[in-house]
Amino acid sequence: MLPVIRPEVVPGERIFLTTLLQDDVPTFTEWFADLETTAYLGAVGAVFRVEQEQEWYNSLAKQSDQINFGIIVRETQHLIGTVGLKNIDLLHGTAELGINIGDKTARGRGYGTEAVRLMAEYGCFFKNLSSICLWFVAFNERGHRAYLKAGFREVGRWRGSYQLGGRRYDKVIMDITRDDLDLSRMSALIHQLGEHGHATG
Amino acid sequence: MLQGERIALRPFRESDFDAWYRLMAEDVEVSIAGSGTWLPQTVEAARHRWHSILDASPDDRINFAVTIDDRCIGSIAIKFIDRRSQNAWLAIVLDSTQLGQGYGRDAVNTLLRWAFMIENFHRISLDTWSTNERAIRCYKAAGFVEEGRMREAAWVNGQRVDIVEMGVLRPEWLERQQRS
Ligand SMILES: CC(C)(COP(=O)(O)OP(=O)(O)OC[C@H]1O[C@@H](n2cnc3c(N)ncnc32)[C@H](O)[C@@H]1OP(=O)(O)O)[C@@H](O)C(=O)NCCC(=O)NCCS
Ligand SMILES: CC(C)(COP(=O)(O)OP(=O)(O)OC[C@H]1O[C@@H](n2cnc3c(N)ncnc32)[C@H](O)[C@@H]1OP(=O)(O)O)[C@@H](O)C(=O)NCCC(=O)NCCS
Repeated sequence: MLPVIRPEVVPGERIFLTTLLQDDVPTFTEWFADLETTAYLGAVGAVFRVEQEQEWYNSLAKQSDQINFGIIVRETQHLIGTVGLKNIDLLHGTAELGINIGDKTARGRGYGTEAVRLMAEYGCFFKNLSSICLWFVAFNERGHRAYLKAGFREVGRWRGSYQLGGRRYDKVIMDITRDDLDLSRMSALIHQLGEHGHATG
Repeated sequence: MLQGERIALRPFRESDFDAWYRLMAEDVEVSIAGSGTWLPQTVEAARHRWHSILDASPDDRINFAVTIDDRCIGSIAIKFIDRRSQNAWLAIVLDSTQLGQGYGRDAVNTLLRWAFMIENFHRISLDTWSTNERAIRCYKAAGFVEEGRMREAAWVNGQRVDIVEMGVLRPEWLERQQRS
């Protein structure tokens, strides 16, 4: 079967972010029947059934305080994961970033770093966010390094807030502010904006 | 009822609604400190919210009225309960006429004793604005330590401020109790 050509919503170099489709739900179900993945994501010990993934998919259209994209590798046109912002708060200009490269063979190849960066730029440009946070479990060194490369900084830890096998681990908090980001890739998407635009403030 | 030094924590009653409404809907300072904003709220809307908070599943949230001589002067709760990892988040607001008299630390300490000794929590978390010095001092007095600051993560009273993350662990709290 030929991969579907999907809309390139947020273009990156080796990947782009696209809208999610009903047909992706079985793929999510496969990704979320994995104890390693759900442990990293904080849903320790949980696996999700197709009905639950369907419910999550249905919620995407209803909830305005979150936005989720699929991550597509240009070379193969394959969907390898999702990245999103939740708890988008437009009064405070904040949100929390989450990512899952569900396809394990696609981890550790730089795609996560790029997706995180694109999502942060999208949030600060299109949603006018000032500050985006995320957390990871202290043993998730791959995540840690990807976030650092994407420009996030460690700003704290919730000590011992995560347990596995009776042992406690910290959740590490990172954030990035609009001033940390170069938003020129996003402004380039709005052609009439021009280099300096006609900004009045 | 959980007896503190000067305050007591007990379940809310229907007759506490007026006190609660004053706390959450009428008092601008308290509302901003708690939720970062103040919006006009009809009594009906507030009553609806009151019920949705009080009727929340105890798996997610547990509420207490902070009282003096049985009179409700505030609200304290734990929320985002995660029994598997033995942690939860704390939220407190007192009536604006009762601030800065030590009732806050008394209520927080009474709640921590319950959470650590009767319930089996290992950690209680909370966050607040960096400009809410009164709250930060109150929490430190009850044993919380600062664990981080999310930069420029809130707009409060005309300025962009940090969010201060705080936490207290059972062994730390026990040690403080033995010392004092
Ligand atoms: C965390 C995640 C988003 C990172 O994306 P990714 O594409 O795998 O990461 P990248 O390839 O961009 O960067 C990974 C970095 O960690 C390093 N790394 C890779 N595997 C590693 C491992 N097993 N241990 C330690 N470091 C590792 C890489 O070398 C790279 O760092 P470097 O370039 O400085 O050497 C992705 O792995 C993922 O979704 N994992 C499963 C779910 C998850 O953990 N989600 C995040 C929860 S907070
Ligand atoms: C936060 C709150 C629960 C604390 O309870 P409290 O009874 O006022 O606090 P306490 O009296 O125990 O402690 C207050 C501390 O702040 C100090 N303080 C009092 N007023 C202050 C002020 N205006 N600015 C700075 N510090 C102040 C007190 O001296 C005391 O510190 P100290 O013992 O080190 O001297 C309560 O003030 C409150 O409900 N405030 C409004 C809502 C709110 O902020 N909720 C918390 C949101 S995270």
